[in-house]
Amino acid sequence: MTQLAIFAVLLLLGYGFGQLAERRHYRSIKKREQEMTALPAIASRHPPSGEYYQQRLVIGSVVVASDYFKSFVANLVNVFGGRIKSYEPLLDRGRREAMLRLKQAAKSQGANIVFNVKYETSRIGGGITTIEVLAYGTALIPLESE
Amino acid sequence: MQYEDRAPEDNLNTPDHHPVREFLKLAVMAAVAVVVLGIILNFAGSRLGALLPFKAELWITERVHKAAIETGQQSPFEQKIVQAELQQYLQSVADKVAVALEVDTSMPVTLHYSSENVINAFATLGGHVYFFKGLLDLLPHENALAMLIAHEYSHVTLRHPAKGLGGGLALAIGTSAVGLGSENQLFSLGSRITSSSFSRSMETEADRSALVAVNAIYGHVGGAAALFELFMQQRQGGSSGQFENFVSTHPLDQQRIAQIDRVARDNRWSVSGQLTPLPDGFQQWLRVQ
Ligand SMILES: [Zn+2]
Repeated sequence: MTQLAIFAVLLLLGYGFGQLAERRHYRSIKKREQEMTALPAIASRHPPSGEYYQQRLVIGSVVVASDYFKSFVANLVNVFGGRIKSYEPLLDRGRREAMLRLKQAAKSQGANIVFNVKYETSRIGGGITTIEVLAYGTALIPLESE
Repeated sequence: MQYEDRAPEDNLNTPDHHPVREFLKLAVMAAVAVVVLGIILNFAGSRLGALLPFKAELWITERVHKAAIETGQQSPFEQKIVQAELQQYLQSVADKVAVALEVDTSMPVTLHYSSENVINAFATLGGHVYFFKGLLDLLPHENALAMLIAHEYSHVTLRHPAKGLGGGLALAIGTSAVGLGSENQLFSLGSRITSSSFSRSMETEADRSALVAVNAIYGHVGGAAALFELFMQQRQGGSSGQFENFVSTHPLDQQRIAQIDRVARDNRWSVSGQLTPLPDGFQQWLRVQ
């Protein structure tokens, strides 16, 4: 009975705080994404030719943890199969935050474009699911800005 | 070349997600799966348990007994009946029951008595049957006592402890296999043995079998219902705290009394007849120990 109560409390806390964190995070992400559209991040491997740039590696990395509620639901889905919808916003947030940090790094170095952008995701730690999303690319910094 | 960046479209990677609805759906599915699996495991386990030879039951109880003594604990199989007259009398009624039920000599039943004031009696592995003072004290006549002894004997002959153990172990293995329970449950054989509880269908089966014995001994089943009337009175009296698993896991008293009437009618047994009194001093014997 006590175990069940602890479980219910964890589930409720996980849901409450998880939803709160997610909503807040999305609000911040959307605001910063609008601010950052001036600095394009491009997947292409070929930088524009004919112009002179300094090239620098820029990375943006973020670690996001799931909550008790999300993990419990994901475990249940693991039994029956299907999309783990509760993890999808988690990864989405991770990718977008990593990209924002990458752009921030590029911007602070005076870059006006980032090329060859790639993502990497890895799971870290045991217990509750925690992921790291890494975005990296080549920042092109106009020579005259040096 | 033009390079442009736009903020990603909303909801593209995270469409239509209702966490609570999803959770409720999954929880219901999981609960149904657990119940169905539990029923299957319990059924399969009790079938397997029934295949366990009685000798294996004896072997298990012997091991538990030795382990308890080695670790300095009280063995659950030690509480023999000290008071000689009580021992003789209970054994004489039990012997009549054994003859009536045609209990195989390869299935020895050992009677135990505890002077604890609990309204309880139970049968467990290896043919060990326990009676508590609280219950014996309330019996109005020998016919009710015979019903009680025959009920517990029937659990033994119908292999209910082995079935219960099999079902319980299958459930414990199942829960620990899916990570719900701990492995400890698997090895808590000792506690499983002394707190064996049977399903309602097992209790009904034991009641039916016990009636056959009572009818064979006394030529009628009168007084058998007194056992359950006694439970009913005690329950209404509010002493439910003293009831242990004997009553709580058993079918409703009214249903059991009704079953006695039904079985008697179907078999054309008489429900009334001369009741045999308990011997003088029976209640004094219970106080010793
Ligand atoms: Zn019973």
